[in-house]
Amino acid sequence: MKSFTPYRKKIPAWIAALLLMAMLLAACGSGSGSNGEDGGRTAAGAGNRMNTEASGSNAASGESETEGGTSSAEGDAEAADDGRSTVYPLTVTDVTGTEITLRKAPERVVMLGPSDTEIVYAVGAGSLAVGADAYSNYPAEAAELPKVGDMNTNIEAVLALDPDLVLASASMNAAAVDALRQLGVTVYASDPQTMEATITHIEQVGILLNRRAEAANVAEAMRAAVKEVTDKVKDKEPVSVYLEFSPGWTVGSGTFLDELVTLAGGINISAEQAGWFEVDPEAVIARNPAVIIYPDIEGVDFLGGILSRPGWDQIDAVRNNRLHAVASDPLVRVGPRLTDGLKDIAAAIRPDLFP
Amino acid sequence: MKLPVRIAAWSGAALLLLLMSVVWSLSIGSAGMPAAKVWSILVHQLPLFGEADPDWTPMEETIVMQVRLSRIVLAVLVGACLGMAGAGFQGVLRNPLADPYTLGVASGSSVGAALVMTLGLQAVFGMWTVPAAAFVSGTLTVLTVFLLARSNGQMAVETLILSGVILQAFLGAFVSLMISMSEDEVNQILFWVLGSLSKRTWDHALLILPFAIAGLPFIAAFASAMNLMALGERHAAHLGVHVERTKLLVLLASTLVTAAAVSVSGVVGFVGLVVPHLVRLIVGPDYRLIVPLSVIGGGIYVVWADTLARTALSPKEIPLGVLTALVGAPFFAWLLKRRKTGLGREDA
Repeated sequence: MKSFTPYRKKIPAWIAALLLMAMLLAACGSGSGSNGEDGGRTAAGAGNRMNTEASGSNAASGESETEGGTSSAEGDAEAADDGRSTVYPLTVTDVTGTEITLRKAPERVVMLGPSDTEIVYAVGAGSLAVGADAYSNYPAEAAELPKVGDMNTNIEAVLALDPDLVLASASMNAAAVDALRQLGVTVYASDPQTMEATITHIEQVGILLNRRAEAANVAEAMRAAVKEVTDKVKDKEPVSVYLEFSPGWTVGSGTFLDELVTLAGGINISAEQAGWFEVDPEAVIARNPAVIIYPDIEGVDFLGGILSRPGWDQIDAVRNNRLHAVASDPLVRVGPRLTDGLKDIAAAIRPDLFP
Repeated sequence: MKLPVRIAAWSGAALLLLLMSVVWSLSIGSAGMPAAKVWSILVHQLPLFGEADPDWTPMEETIVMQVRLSRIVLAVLVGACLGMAGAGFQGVLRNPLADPYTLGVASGSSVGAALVMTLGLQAVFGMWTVPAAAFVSGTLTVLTVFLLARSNGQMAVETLILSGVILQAFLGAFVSLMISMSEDEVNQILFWVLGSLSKRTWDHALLILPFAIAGLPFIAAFASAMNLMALGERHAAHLGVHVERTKLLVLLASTLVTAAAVSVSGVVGFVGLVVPHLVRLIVGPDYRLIVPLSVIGGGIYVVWADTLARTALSPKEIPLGVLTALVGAPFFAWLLKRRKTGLGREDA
């Protein structure tokens, strides 16, 4: 896979906003069917609360564990054209358990989140994109698309673009998904919570947009990148890691960041708790991580904050100067660059193996 | 009993309770050390007992003496400031609903902090940018309220409180606007407004220490005047109290003390409201007792609340302001139900 570098460094902690939103939605359960895609796949988080919820919502909606549920026309498409192109009409079930039918290949696609935007462009369907949210800044031409709002999707702006398909996050855009559907707009919602679910989602978008071959290439490159990392750390002793994505906030189990740390040969010291949360600084000292990782966000002084906390000078990572900043966007977007985030984390954890 | 004896006895008892609260709070935390070990680490710090061989790791000592202690000291100071200011406000405003936030300190400080965060300027003056902005905007807000309420060189209590409420609503709307418009810092503004003592340093405690130390004797000096003002401003004036000057000075001092605490902790509600009422319930209406005991009581209240904040869902943090209000509001309701007449008396 082509290695991208974020063209825009200044991404003030909107991520934190997204994550907080995701957390709140998960907490109050309004993101119906969220986590469906990873349904019990997160090995690292097995048995934790978040995961139980995920399986619960899966069971409730009677979904299969494959990304986006079932795709009834998929078989035909493969039979017809060697898996190269999609046959329409295509009926699929998305992560919210909603069945959607595409009568013909979509020509006007709107993305409500930066992850889906990156996916659409990565599978070579950028020419179909007619609108995206304000955070969609990658690739560069995506930033030029008409904006349809930020965390709060502007429903009217979406309708004005007359999309024949809207791609959305089931957890972060839950309200917009419902509103758009009631207005008769075709919305495909997803909520990948693991690396594999992300890759499968990319393949699914390839099917929806009739870009199967391109999506397969992206997926293959991503799987190869994951394998390259996991093969290298396979027989190594895991390294304890504290990951701070917003000042004072860390990730627990059941999150894709936790999974990335695990894949990269680390152990997340906060894995005993689920979800995203503000961590008690004492707990971090007691668990004594060997490595501290934080995203590189302009205007946010992670390092200063970490070093000023009383007692943190006792932590191995601080004493041995193992504090690493990694590019923020690839790390927090469940899209084609997630493997770049994985590589960055692996390099931070194991500089000896990933120079 | 004579008054100095009563003050000494009550303060001694309250300080003992505070000390016990501190030791109790030091003993629990995410790291899960047995209390005995914590106590031997504490005893080890005393000059005469430092000889024994430590059976704990340096890291455990760091957790107790640095992480927990710095935070608990900060909790005591923040609580002390809020309790002190609460007693001052209730004393001169003679209104049971007056608290350090009534005149808009909290919303004023929030506007400053939120503005800095929205503009992405948190690090311009290092870690002190947000506290400085909060302090300045909080103080300016209260000065504005004074100006609004002032007519003919006097500030009527009702006008003062009404001005505070109005400005509070206005500035609160600004904060909400910034939260909703902000593309990025949503959780920072939101969580600042919710209040927290997590990830503060000794420097934060040192910052508000002078306010607590200077504020106590200053406000306590007006305790007798506040006792007389409880009779009504006219009576107090006849008895030789400079009513307007007392009001202005006590409110200013309370405001500065509150703004200092809020600039470090964010909005921690209900302490200034509940603690003086509780103290009054126990020791009676004499402000010479209420002021010092509200200082100590505020410290105890916030230590308890913050201990809960950092341990209840460990290793997750609960915002401190959530807990003080969550515990404070029902408690206050109970107090109100039980002592309706007693609280009303203050209005006379």
